[in-house]
Amino acid sequence: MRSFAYLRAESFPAASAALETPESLPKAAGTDLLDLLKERVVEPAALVDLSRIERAQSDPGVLSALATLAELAEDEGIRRDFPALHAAARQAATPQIRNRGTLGGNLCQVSRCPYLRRAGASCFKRDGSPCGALLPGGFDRTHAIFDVGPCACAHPSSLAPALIALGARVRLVRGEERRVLALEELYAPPAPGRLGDVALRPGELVEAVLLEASPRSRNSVYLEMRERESFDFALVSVAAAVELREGRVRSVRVACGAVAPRPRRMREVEAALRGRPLDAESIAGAADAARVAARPLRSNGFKATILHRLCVRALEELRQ
Amino acid sequence: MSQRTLELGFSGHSEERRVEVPPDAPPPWDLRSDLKVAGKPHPRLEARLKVTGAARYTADQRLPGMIFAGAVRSPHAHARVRRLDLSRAKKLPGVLYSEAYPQREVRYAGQAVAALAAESEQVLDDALALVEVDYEVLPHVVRTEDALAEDAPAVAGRRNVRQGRGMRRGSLRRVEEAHARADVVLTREYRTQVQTHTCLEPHGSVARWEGDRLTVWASTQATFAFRQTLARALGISAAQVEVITEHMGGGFGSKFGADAWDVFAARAARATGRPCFFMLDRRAEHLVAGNRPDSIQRCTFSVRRDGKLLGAQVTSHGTAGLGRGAGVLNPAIYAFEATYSDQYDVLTHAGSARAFRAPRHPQGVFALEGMLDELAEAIGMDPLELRRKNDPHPVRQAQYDVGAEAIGWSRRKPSGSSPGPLKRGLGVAAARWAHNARPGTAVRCRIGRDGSVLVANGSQDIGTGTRTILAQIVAEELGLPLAAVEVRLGRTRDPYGHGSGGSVTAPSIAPPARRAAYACRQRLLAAVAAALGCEAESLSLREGRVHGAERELSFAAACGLLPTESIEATATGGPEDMSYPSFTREVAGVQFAEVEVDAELGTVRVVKVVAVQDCGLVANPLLARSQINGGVLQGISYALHEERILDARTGDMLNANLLDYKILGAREVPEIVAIPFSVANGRTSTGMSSLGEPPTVPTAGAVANAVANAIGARVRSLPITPEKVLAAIAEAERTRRASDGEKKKKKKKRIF
Ligand SMILES: Cc1cc2nc3c(=O)[nH]c(=O)nc-3n(C[C@H](O)[C@H](O)[C@H](O)COP(=O)(O)OP(=O)(O)OC[C@H]3O[C@@H](n4cnc5c(N)ncnc54)[C@H](O)[C@@H]3O)c2cc1C
Ligand code: SF4
Repeated sequence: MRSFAYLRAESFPAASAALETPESLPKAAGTDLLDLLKERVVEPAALVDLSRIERAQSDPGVLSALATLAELAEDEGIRRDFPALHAAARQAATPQIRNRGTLGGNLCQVSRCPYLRRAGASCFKRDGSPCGALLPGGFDRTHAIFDVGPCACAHPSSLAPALIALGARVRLVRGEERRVLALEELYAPPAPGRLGDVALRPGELVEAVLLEASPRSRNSVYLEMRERESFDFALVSVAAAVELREGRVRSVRVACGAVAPRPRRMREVEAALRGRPLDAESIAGAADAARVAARPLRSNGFKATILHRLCVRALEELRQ
Repeated sequence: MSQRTLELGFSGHSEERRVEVPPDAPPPWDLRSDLKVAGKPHPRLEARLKVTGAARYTADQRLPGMIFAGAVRSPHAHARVRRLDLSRAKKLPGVLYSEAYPQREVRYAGQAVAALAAESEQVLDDALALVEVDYEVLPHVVRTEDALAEDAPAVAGRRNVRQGRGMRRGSLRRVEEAHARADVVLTREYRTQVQTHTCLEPHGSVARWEGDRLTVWASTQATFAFRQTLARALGISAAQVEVITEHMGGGFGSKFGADAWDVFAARAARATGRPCFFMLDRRAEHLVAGNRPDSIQRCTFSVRRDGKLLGAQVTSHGTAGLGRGAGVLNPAIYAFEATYSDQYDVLTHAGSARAFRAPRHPQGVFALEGMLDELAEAIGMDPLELRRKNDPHPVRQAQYDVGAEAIGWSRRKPSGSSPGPLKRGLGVAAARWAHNARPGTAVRCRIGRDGSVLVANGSQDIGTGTRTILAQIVAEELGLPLAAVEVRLGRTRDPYGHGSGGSVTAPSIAPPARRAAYACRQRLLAAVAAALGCEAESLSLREGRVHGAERELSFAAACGLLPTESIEATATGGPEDMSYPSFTREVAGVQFAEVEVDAELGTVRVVKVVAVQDCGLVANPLLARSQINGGVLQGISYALHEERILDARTGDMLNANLLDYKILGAREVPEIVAIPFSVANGRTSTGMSSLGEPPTVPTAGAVANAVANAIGARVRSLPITPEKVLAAIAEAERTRRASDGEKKKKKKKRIF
């Protein structure tokens, strides 16, 4: 990796100010960033370390961006009020990475696309060159089945779809300024140089994730399919939260991971369920709706099949 | 010569054999031998060092003043190097040595074009990035199938498809005659992938010169071959080089000599006068350090309705990259009437293959065992029954019983009959290996007047437990507890030992170790007899004591009677005590697998594997199980996960790391019932058989058969990934629906 200046930030506003330095990047635990540095995929002149920032007294609805995945997985309140988040955090990565990796880093992590992660390979998102996965003979097996444009990558975070299904919002900080966005709005379409697919302004950081417990959030689920239980990313993940009233779906949110360049809110699935009883028929219809817009690439058609089946399983779990 | 009658075989199936034992050799161990230390479950001697991290591997060496080396590697599979400029790199402070390899063409991604050595790893990394290479990219081909095409770029010479000597075997005419007599003839295509060795400790070494003497710490499975190849490359005599391999972090066949990077390290160390460290990084490990070739096997097999196997015909194509040796072995486990195999190497622009744990076997057995199950299904016979009917080997016949009992074979349901999305299935596969004891290994045993016992051999323990086995053999022969014997391994100044390949190490090193200990024992007893004034024949060594007719004394006291400071004997394994007429020359193994397939998502979980493995006489049940476990795990990993993925467009490897190149992890480990199966084959004086490789041979076949049993559809391609499982299920459903449609039509016709 290229040598860099190392700055340790005391607070989010201070970190944000430090990031005004050109060619600087924030680092939380570095479990993702370090690999990119070693491969020289990113070569920042300075790293601003967030990991020593003193965390504010925690409020149950406010998750610090610096919370580790292990902390989220072990939190009793999360387990009770946000089972989807509990499940996503518990299954992600490996025990070692969960012990270090942070929520903020997880949401801003970079796609696992092998072309992106290899300096010198052709990749639209890294430098605007043609997408290596979409070029003839390219490897696209683990890539997106929705919303493929100039980039075909699959978003790697499993926490993001869970949080989107839970209706989470993110609090961003830039200098002394703060703003709050729905989590799905944090993500932007692939663009050259924007490796993490997040629509952050220069120097802007994710400070916290905001959640509200509700009957819907308590009736939530996260399921994923991966090839290997140890040490792997999901090939498809589905998170759903449903509030039932008098046997009918009063409100519902469904989101998927690893199927599109961004975590994908599944509005077609939500529409197929809203107002209907949650039964085998509506679930089958909703799962069919999930793949209507899917446009698999040469070798990842199986992801659409898996998505369909995971949707059925996820919704079945919420029938009560 | 003395005559001995041995009882050979295994429990329930033994026979007596008379052998001639040379006067200076101990009589071979057999079923009647009452062993006290050998054959017992002693934990490996260095276990504590390894689990506490105290064991120092080559990659752990940090010598004073040590410098670090690395290479610039081509990202292109085929290119001409137009310009190679090291000047900027060399100007970087801390860069101490460099070499440029201005070969006209690079022929695989990963090939080195330059190498550097620098003060620190950081300087090295920066310097490597400063080397400027201008490549003219040339046409390449990296996939076996693409290389077969008429218009494929030629990799070397004119033709990409080659057939080496011995790659056509058997008689096509006889096989065709056999097929003609069959009730069922099936033709199927089986495929396997390229697997990389993925040694946890990478390849490499640390070199240090003192005057004109070179010491090299090497991660090698052949200390002596390493010394030889390195000395030759440096133009010095092997006597100037000492190779040290105290602990080894995995080789699997890819570490049999000094490689280009080792030679560079030695040259850089000589030029700078400082020790030089050169271990490959993970990417280079995958690209340049060897692999198991892939295969496309077209199989036509035939069987009679009563289960008699008739013909087996296999045509295979595979790539060993730029190297050779991509043939598969569909070994003669079963007694076909006629066999024919026709095998081709397909050259591609990719790193060369190297020997990999049971080269050619797992891929061949995967196809063979799959075909057997398909034939069994076609004639409506239980797959185990079909094997029993056609397997001439008495050991495997017994192993089928043991394994079937342990896995609960009677639970096996007809293929595809498991209800619900989670489907269970059972599968079986067999393996065959040769009893590979090679003469030529020398072992020195020394007993000191202070009662110390040292055994020394210069070859390596690659994790197979050689050190522990040596101590056990010598302790047994001297009637001592294990702890009384010190073993020194992995230094080429000690006596010669073979490279650890072909599973030769334990079977080859144990007989000379025993014989050296035997010689020391005779001399010790002679010295004691002289001191006590009795006959040596009246003395024996047991339980750490010398027992005579009238008195006994401790081993240490006996050693105190030695006339010299120590006695020493070096024995070299030779035909005298390594090629007795044996019960069997073959090493037999059988494995059973139980899997659970999520038929909706396509994921496969191996639930249980029963591995019954002929070990010859079991040297140490713990070590034997450890070898079997390792073989099974590597086999499952091969069956379900591992695959080298090369980008067709650039020829670069896309998963040259440990996340995307998937080896099985802790959560994928099933229940493994490793059953070391003891067979007194009588071949050598110690009776140990080859065990390193055979346990990985049948695993993928057994797992694949279990998957087919679970889902009622067959995946004929490794690794068995979710999409292949889903596609096989969908295909089977289509076929079933089509044939149901046919039946309905027929029924309707009848009604009409
Ligand atoms: C083997 C392996 C398996 C994995 N499996 C999974 C999985 O199954 N599911 C899953 O979701 N993830 C998985 N991960 C990813 C893992 O969860 C992330 O690496 C981790 O959460 C990142 O956190 P970090 O603190 O280390 O981030 P860092 O590596 O420090 O940062 C990651 C990125 O986010 C940016 N960043 C960090 N914090 C902030 C912030 N507060 N505001 C703005 N930008 C920020 C950094 O600049 C960097 O670009 C896996 C990773 C590995 C290595
Ligand atoms: S899929 Fe996206 S990240 Fe991957 S190569 Fe294409 S543009 Fe780059």
